[in-house]
Amino acid sequence: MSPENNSDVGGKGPRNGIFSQAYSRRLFFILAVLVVAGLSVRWALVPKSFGEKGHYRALAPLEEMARKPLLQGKKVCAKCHADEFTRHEKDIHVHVQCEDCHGDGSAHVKAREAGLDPEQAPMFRELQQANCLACHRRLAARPKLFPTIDVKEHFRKVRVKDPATRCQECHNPHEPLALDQRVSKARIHPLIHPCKDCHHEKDIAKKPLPEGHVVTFTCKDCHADIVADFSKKPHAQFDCRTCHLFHKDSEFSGRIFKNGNPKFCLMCHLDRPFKDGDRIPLLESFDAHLDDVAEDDGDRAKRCVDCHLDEMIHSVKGGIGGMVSTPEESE
Amino acid sequence: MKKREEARLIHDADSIASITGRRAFLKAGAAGAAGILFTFKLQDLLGKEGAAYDPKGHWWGFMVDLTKCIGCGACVRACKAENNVPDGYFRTWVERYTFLEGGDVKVDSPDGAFNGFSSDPPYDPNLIEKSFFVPKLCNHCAKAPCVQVCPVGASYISEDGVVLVDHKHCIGCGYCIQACPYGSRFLSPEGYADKCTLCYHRITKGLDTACVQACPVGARAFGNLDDPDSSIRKMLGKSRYGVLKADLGTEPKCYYIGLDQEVR
Amino acid sequence: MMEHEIMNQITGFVFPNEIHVHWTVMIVMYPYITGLVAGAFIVSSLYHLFGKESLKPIARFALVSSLVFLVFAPMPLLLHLGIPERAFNIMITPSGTSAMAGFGIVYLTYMIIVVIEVWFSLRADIVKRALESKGVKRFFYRALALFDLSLDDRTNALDHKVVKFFAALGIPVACFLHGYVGFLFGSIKANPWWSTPLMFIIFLLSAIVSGIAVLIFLFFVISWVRRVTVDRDVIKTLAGFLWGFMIIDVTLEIMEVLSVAYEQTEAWQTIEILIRDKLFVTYVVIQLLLCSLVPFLFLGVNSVLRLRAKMSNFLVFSSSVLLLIQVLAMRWNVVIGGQLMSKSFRGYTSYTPGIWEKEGLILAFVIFTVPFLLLRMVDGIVPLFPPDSALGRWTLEHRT
Repeated sequence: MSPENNSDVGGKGPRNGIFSQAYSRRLFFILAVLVVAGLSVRWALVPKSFGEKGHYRALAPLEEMARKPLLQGKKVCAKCHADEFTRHEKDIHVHVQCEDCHGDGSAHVKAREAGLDPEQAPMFRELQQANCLACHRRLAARPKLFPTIDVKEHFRKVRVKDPATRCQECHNPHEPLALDQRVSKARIHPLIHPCKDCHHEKDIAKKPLPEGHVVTFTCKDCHADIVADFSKKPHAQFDCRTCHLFHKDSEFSGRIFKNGNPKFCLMCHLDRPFKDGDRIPLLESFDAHLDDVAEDDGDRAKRCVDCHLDEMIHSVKGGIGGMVSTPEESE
Repeated sequence: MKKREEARLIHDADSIASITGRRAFLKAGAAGAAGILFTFKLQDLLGKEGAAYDPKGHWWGFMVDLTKCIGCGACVRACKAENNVPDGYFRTWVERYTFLEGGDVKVDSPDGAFNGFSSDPPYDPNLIEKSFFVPKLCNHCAKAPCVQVCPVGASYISEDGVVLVDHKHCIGCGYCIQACPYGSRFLSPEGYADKCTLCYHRITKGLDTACVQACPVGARAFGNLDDPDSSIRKMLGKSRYGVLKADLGTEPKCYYIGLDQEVR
Repeated sequence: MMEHEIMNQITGFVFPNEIHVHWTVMIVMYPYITGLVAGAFIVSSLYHLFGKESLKPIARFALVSSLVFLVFAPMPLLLHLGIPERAFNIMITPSGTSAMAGFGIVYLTYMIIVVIEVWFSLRADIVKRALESKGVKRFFYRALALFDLSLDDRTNALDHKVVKFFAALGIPVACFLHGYVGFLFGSIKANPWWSTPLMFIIFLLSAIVSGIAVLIFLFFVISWVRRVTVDRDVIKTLAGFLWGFMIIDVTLEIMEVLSVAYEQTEAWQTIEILIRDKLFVTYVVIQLLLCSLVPFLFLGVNSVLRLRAKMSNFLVFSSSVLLLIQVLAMRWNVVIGGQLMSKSFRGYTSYTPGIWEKEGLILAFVIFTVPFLLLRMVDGIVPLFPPDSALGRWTLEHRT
């Protein structure tokens, strides 16, 4: 006798509404109580501040905001390391944060602020080749005008014998170019389009332009005299940009450096055990060199380029010289 | 190393950040006590720095100049340090696109470029047509699908346009991770969904985000899109840019200068 | 799985956060079990609402199965949650824009409907048992009957009316319950393997298929265990429905992929490799060939030809088993398959479920088995098969 047997009776009897029986009333009452209880519990459990600004806890963004920043930024470092900071600020690494190389400084600064020895939380100092190469390794994907090297090729060029030599033996990361003036003071140079902008081939700049090639500006187009002179001097194997460092701002202009700081020359010419002295003139130190050659205090104040520029680099100086070739003329 | 750990403890002891975290919440013992402690500290802090910040009038956006990125990974390292991002997960990462002759496009991002890129990809250099780096992070979409699908209101867009996760309310269902078309989200080892906060704790104090601060070549920038004088508005105003997967209608607020159509 | 093992199995490029598959075998089990809920409910409604008399012997059993599976449907979800102790947030602060938040509301609504329907359909038998038994047992049954043991034509009419009303109300809610599970996947525009408006209807139809299949399977197994002749009327009707629904279901499943393939969109390049390589065994071999084509032929032969009972039983039983696997494979291919494909559209990750872990195979199997044991328990408390059916007579004879 299951209820299904009586399908013909359904709904015909008098007072046969859904609440006509006690059991039915009880069941629905219990369910109603459960639903109401559930809704009240739900209502009571809604977290504080939920829904005030949107469907989330309005306090949540404030809590996120309350987190304390960890990375300090170079201005905090400058408070104690003014010397390094001053040098760093004027040179090409000006946009590189101290913590990019030295790691998160929060613990170091915290210890200092607490009056403790900051060396309890020492910064990372032992930079290896790999650390510098993270930025400066030559990779196909790197922008062409960003200074990159292939370590082997670089060491061959500057006569470094020991392949494990660390970069900072020659390059001070705090002033990699040893600039005399702030990097932003370097003049903006127009129209620099090195061959490498379009070509990936090695030494492309040295190859002759093929027939019908679009004429591009190279250094010699405007500075033919200097380039002709330079090509006869011992530094001819280098590019103009090795010393003048076009720092590209956009596709149409770049900055040009005229760097005369001895530190720049000494990157190559200082005698270090890992260098091959047979193939490159090396100085024991700049002071020792001055001791050898300086005749008076005036001489002692001179820079490398004051004496060696004409002989070693280029004797023609300044401005635009020589003919600017035009497409018609070159054909 | 040990010294460093100790110093870190000193640092943590009075850090506001440590009491908002789930771990410290447990450390504090009774929930009520932690609650009182929290409100007190929060007011304390907002009184100092937070009060100066008003989310109204701000609509944060991000910008990446792909022509500048050198793929050094400084942003990834800075982000990990700043936000204590668990190993194997990334709030930001850098991809490398390599176009080979014949139209093949290869992408790699070893360990999210945490250590940068140690070599060129293993293809014949003569076959590489072009190659470039693409930093990725949360796009802080104006119509964020992750926020749309969150069942409990733990993912939300703040008043000033930053997509955030309420770690105290998230149930860890992972639906937002499925809904994000950009792979920007992950499930933290603690069980809640986590992602880039646009360094909300920094930008609201007038600081740069960790990744923007760390970028040595200025490839990353962020700013207030509501302010016509902000540098991001000015840079975007003179540049041609694109956004990722625009066809999905998520209205990303991370703009890429020099974007290639193969990037997605 | 160890980190380096996963790394070795990645092909192409996946976003660094996509290496781990977040939705595991538990999320495969969840729509599978809710599918059984919806399918079983619809079978019971075929009798209760549409008066399909031949299904009478299994109608109540189907209804109770639906309830039992429903109770266990959230279990895999709970095991999957990153922070399960916050599970109730989904009901405390449900988001109006989230398909998943619908879960709390639809699930509870459906639960209430099924509880009411089950109780009214079992009430007469509960009352009878209360009248027959003594002591604690009597109290138990009286409590189950809410201390009102009235039983006459008027109560029978009322019970029947209520059952019919909630059967009618339950159908759209059951469809919605499972439809929303399909929508949960179908609405994810980030994932081209999921994002299709058909997902909703495919989930619904496969739910019905799995529901009918599990009832056929159980009906056979119970009959065989109890050494009762299998009721051919029930099987014939169910086999007919199973055939019909599986044809529509599989057609839609195939048409969905075909239309993506024909459109040749950007996504197809990725989906094609997914099907050809990563999902070849579970999708092409298991879901389409073995577990769709074979049952289609078996059930077709069974419907068209006049077979001996033994032969027909074999065909229908094996079809039900294969279709249960088919639907499980379909859930796997959707849930896991969609995550194997990187949203960069440039690579694939891999997933092998663990054995003993929280979201491993053992627990998944346990979660799937417990409802069956519970069903057996309920049958001991109140008869699930009507007394005028073969299985019902067995129950009467074997009462202690």
